[in-house]
Amino acid sequence: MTGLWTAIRGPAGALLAALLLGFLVVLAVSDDPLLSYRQLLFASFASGANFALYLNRAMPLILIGLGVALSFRAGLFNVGGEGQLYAGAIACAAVGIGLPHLPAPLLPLAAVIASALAGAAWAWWPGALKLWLGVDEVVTTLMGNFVALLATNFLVTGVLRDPAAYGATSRLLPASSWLPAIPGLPNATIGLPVAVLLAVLGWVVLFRTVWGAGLRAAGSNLRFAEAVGIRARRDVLSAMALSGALAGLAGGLYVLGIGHRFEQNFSPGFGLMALTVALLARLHPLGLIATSLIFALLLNGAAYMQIATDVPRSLVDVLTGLLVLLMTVEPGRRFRRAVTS
Amino acid sequence: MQPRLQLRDIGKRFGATVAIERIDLTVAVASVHAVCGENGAGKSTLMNILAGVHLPDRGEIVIDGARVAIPDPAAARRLGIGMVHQHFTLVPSMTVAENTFLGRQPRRFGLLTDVAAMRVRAAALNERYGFGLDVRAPVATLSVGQRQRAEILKALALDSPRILILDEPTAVLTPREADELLRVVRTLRDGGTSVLFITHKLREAIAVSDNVTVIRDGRSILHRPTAGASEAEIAVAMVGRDVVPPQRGAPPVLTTRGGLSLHDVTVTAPGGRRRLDSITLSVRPGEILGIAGVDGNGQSELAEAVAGLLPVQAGRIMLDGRDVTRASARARRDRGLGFIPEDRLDRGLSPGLPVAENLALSLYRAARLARFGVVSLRARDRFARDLLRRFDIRGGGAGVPAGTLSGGNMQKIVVARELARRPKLLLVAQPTRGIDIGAGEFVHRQLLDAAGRDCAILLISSELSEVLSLADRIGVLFGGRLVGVVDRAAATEARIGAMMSTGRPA
Repeated sequence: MTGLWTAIRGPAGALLAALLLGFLVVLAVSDDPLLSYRQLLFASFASGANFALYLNRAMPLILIGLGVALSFRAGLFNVGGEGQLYAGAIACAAVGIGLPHLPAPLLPLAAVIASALAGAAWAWWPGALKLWLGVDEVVTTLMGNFVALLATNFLVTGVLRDPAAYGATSRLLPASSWLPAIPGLPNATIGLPVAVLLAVLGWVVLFRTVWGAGLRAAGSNLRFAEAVGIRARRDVLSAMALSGALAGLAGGLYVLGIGHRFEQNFSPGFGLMALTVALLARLHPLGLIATSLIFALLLNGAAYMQIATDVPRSLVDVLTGLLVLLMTVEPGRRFRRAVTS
Repeated sequence: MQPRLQLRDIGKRFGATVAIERIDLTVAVASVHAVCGENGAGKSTLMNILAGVHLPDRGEIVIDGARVAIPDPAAARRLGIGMVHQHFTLVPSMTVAENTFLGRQPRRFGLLTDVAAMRVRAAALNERYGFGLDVRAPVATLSVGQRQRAEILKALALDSPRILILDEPTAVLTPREADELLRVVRTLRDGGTSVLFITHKLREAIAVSDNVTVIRDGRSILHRPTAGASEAEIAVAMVGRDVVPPQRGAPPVLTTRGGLSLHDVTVTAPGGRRRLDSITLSVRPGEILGIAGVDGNGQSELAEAVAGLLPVQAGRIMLDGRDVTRASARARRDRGLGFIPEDRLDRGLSPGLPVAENLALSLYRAARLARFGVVSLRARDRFARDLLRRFDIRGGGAGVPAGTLSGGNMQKIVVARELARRPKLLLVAQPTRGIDIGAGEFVHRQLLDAAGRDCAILLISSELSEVLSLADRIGVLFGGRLVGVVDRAAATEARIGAMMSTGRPA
């Protein structure tokens, strides 16, 4: 129990401090700062619909964050979650629209698998380039984001476009492919419980399996892992693909459970935010369930805050920045020089 | 005459850990002062206090009669204190010359680094001390031994060091290079510099120093002129008990077939240079074959090639009767290979992971610590605690990150893990590099025990005394070639030393 407290008191303190500092900002810009903060923090619980929307926003954060944790633990910095999310979403939409006559249970299954495969592929090539040719994966995954975003734009304004719709969105997927809602919360997709389950599974795999132990060893010292006979490169590449598959799955679940179609620029920056979420959770799969729920709360609450008050939703960016800054502070640990005894 | 340096009643603690209880030290002008002590005794902390890395909690530092404070490394440099750290402080991507003058580059127009002048000055220093370095080579391309020399070059490049601190400077040097360094140290002393020579190699301490101070458990417990001191006296003061270095007994009677054999193994660098040139050797079960040689003559390549981490271009490697030339590291380990690599922080363990994971990694299946791929934490921790006890690994339990342990204890983790595999062949490289007498003694005893259990041991070491006291037969690597193999009965330090420096059988 004390171990858990030690682990979370840092992030919890940082969160509290960020909210306090953020309040100073709100105090400076708003006529009604209290209302702003009330909206930001509590509007998500004001109605069933609000709450459902909140949970829906947490789902991609958890899944992409889990992928980030997995790849970082394996020693590769996959910052391409956004691109893999789009790759998964478009693959899911393409399967859903392209194979409408598949029987009900098979269609969503096929679409989900397609989304995971597309995400995996979009993470695999930067991983392979890194391991075979030493190409920096941060650069390739980051650039991959733009390629995926623009490529999906191209598809959704072209072959997949719904001619009857106003914006650049794909046609609606057949209802037989839609995911059910969480019982009692009509608009909340079961994508969230699935994501939570996968996060728990991810924790087991990383910290309780032989494969996970080898992977973390490879991530912290590849040459050591190789020397003790772990097939380190293969494992690391698998972890990278898995990381992409999780982000792709987030895209698939988003399309099947929330949008029911592919919408251009549907992500409010889930990929980047998931990076923060995972790092704040210290790359711990269970911790990132909590940080995802907190970030989704801010993300969702900010929308209500913007509607109800004069504070713009970009306050979230301020809070995120403060949080990242404060998380890097380690109280009680004094500055140490590089050379110690 | 006024002493160059006086430390009075120095004390230092880190949190709850007392690093230095009470140390007094007086160093005369133009003298070499040896500071001996085991790892963790407080030597490095003391030197870091002098180098401005740590501030003492208590006590005073007096240099040439003036009480001084050394708040940071720049202040230490201004006071004329040059320091060579035990761990490398070089920037790998920079050249030797750039590293030598890092932070104090010669300037042109007060702004630009005068690269030519820097090279010339670095080359002159290199020439003067006979370090044989290419000052234009990036440090990353140098071998461990060469890096150490670059490190020393950097400290010697101080304008006029009043006090030069050398922290285990010969740890990675060959006997000949070490002798060379000792000569340099004497030259510096004769030039008026006071040299603090930190070492646990007593032979060196006695050979080079005028005075000696022994530190144990954070206290200075012995001060005396070196003249007339014996190694045994200093060793007892250091360890606090009598020391009996393990020694290989009579050559074993080899009955079992198998072990390791190499036939014309050749490894070529990408540029085409031969790193290993037609190496042929064999080690039988129960036998210890020592490979001596100056660092950088193919030792690393030999270890990596046998371990399956470096592909060979020609030749054959047989392990326990099977051809493993093309086999992966994993397959070779499955066939009974254990590997204690030369640099524990590089290939030996992961400093960020807990001790238990470092011990258990690669043994989950063999030691039945997992079922269906799922680790049993209880079994793993029991396994780890058992090894911690059997190998007397101190400095924290199974749950602390391995990197927080001392060098000797980290090395014991590697040794414990590799021996827990009950290997048929143990490949050992530089097993006591940078660790203290007690831990080194322990590791040596473990190696001898393993040989007694019919394990074939290939011992690669640039520490000649280590090879001489453990191996049954001794080969010398020179320029990637194996220069003769000598039975221990016929091997003397002089003979092997000659082979190491000339590359010819003697």
